[in-house]
Amino acid sequence: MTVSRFAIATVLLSFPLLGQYDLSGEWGARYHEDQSERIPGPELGDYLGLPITDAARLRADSWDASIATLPEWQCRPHPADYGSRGPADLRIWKEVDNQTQQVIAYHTHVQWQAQERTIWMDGRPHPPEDAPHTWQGFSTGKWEGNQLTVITTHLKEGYARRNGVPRSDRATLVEHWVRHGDFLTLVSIIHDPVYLTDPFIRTTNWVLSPYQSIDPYPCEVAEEVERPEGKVPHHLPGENKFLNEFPDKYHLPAAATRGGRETMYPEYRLAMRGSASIVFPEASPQYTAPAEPQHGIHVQRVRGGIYMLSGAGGNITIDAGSEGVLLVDTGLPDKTDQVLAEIGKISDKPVRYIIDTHLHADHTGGNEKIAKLGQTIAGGDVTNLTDDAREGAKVIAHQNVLNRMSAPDGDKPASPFGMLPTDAYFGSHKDLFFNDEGIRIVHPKNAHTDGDSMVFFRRSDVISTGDVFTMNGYPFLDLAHGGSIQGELDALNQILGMVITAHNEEAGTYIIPGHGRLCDAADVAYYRDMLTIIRDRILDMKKRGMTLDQVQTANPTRDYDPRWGATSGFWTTRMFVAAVYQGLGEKGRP
Amino acid sequence: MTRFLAMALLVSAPLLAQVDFSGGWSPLYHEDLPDRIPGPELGDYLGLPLNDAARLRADSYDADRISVVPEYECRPHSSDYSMRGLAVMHVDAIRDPVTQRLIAFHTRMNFQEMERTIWLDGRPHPSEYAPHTWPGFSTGTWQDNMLDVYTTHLKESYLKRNGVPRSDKATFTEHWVRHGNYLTVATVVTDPVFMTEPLVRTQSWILDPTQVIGRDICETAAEVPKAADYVPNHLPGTNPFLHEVADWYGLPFEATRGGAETLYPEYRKKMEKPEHPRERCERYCACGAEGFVCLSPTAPPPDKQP
Repeated sequence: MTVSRFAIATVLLSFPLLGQYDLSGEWGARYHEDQSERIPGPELGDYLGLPITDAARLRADSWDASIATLPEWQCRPHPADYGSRGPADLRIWKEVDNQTQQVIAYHTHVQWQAQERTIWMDGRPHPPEDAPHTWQGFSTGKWEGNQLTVITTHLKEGYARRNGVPRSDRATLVEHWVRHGDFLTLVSIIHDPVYLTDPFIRTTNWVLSPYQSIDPYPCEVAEEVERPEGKVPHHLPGENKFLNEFPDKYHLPAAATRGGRETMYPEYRLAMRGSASIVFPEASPQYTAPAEPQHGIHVQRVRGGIYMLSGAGGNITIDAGSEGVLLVDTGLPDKTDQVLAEIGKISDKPVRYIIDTHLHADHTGGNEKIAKLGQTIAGGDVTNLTDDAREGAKVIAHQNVLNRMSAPDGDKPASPFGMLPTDAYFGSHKDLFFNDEGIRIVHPKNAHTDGDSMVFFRRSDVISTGDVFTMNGYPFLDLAHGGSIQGELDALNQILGMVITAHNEEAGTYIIPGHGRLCDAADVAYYRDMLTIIRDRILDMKKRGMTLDQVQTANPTRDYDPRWGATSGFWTTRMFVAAVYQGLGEKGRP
Repeated sequence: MTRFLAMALLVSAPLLAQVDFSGGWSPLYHEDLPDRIPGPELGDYLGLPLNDAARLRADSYDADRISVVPEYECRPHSSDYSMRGLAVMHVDAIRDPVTQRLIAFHTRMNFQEMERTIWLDGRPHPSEYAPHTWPGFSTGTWQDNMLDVYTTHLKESYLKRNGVPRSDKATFTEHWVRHGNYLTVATVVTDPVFMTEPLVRTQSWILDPTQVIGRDICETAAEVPKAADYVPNHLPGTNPFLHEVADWYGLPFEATRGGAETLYPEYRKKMEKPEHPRERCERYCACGAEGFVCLSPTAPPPDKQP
């Protein structure tokens, strides 16, 4: 090869790409920006410069730092948006496709709680809506010039500041990573339609530190604080006595410390001095990442032979294996054909068991048709009813479900015979062994209804909860059918007693809720905290002699409404508040 | 708060004995540029501690071998020589996810996609009967902030790209030192078959975050008709090119024949006079001047280029 061809080959083999910088390396965090907030930590009641809504403000005012001692939160890591704030020594490495040498992904490892995140660079789409949310979310990146822009969705609920200011699970994180020599700057922008009025922008910096070594960060939960079962530390509205500490200590107007979009802008200082004619910039639009549209029925694999089917009414759990198919719930009757088609894609074996988590039609509507097409395993010689072995899946539910479905319900007639459970149990639980694993059907008392069942697949480590736990609103406390707020809270705590998380309160046992995305323990813990706090507020109001109308006016759920509330539909916020109020005795028990 | 601060310091700390080498590294060719990039002259064994066997192997070398013999067309540089030229390098640190301990460094050179793992987890080298590879088997230990790497199980290769051999009995020791954004690797090749002393060389790189290493896919193609058993070589005493380097550079021929004494500056005191002295430089004269990468032996220096 001649020298010139050799030279050309040399140049071609390695070249700078104008649009890309290698972000790999060990990066030591620099805390000169916002040091006191990031390292010692923010003062209680300091919401300065945060474009928060009233709902966020009440959440923050209610926050008690003791909540971090609850077992579910002891090992909770900073989520992706907060992890860079501190302690934030960082390692970045890239994953390269061996064939093409293209960068598939960047991986980051942050010191605090050893959180790792993948930033996919290969153009893959974000997951669908009902995919699980994680602390680090799902991130994709794209180069814009020499700046890496990263979009992160599917974040679990977190915090905008470590003094209780929340960041919802509906937020999107947009980041711009810029390397300039040995310095790395991250511009992060949180878009939260639930708790922020404007995008919230922060910057963080690192310097290349080749001598850095990040140690592992194992975290193990230990119960060190004795407290009554089910207690969630919080301040009742108006009773947080620490909120004036910050303005008093720093001689600030209290109104300024309450945050809000105006406090982001330097013009606010004029308003603080009493100027009336300040014009603040208009609110910037919030960014919503394009999500894979989810229409109709959607099936996702959970673990092993366990799948979650959503979009047919309530979520349906499919357990498919060598012995056949077991379903938890059957959805709406007009979706049954589609449900059967999806089951057929997973398994060609018959449905052997249906477990009804409760009586409602969006969970039992497919019972008749699906059970008729199924086949029971046992029957035969003992009862001399060999026909049992050929026809129909067994439909299992709590006795109270059978009692209620087989009788008229007000002006509604009894359910058709074919929809009724064929195998009712009473007591605390019923066990099966199917598809090579133990299955415990657990009966929580008087939660969503008085006939609830939750199904624990022990080897697969998955729990189907029915409507005891849902991700799309406040729980439907069906008082007419024996539901109650205390039973609901007991059931949620029962779920939390059954789960084991894999790492930092994430993954491990998966939970299939009655409605909404696939979850894990942290999602249940947030839900439990919310309902406990709302229960405490309403109980406090009731003890002070407030009527239901007065409680409704006081709006004790207003900090959770933007995420969980509804003003129309079959279950509204007002109905929920009324159900809690009516279900509470003087001591908070029905 | 103080406990928190203490914890923050503890969980991430500089370990005096370790440095992160990961990243993209661009080679600096200021050391030995003509030898490394255009390539060594035929017959130039100056400064190499060769024995007679190595000298005969080198004298017999015919460069046609790498284009005529299909088995050599895609032969990469071995790990010792890959440091020398076309040495754009990317280093990745491989960590145990549970303990966060560094298990290995993984290097990739651009030329012929040479990849190597330097194991840092204390594992032993394989047995004598394990396969030899182009990169060999490498283990590393820290000496304060310097990484000592020891490589065995190398396939036969070359010390210089003009036929000077390096046997498969050789071992290769390296000392990696990072100083800010510069990386220097001192390499020591010990070959009981072809060398009388270890050969020490140094190479340097600079951190380059803009670097992207592409593919270097090689496919053999028989382009030169030849007999099946033909391997290009010069019979002993018939290589016509061996005096070129002495003539071109005005050096005594004996000096160009190499040997351990030519390693040392004292050799100049006993050097013979050249048979064909030169008044002025005529080849690779501007190499390295003002960063000039001389690819042609007679290319004029930067200030004299059209």
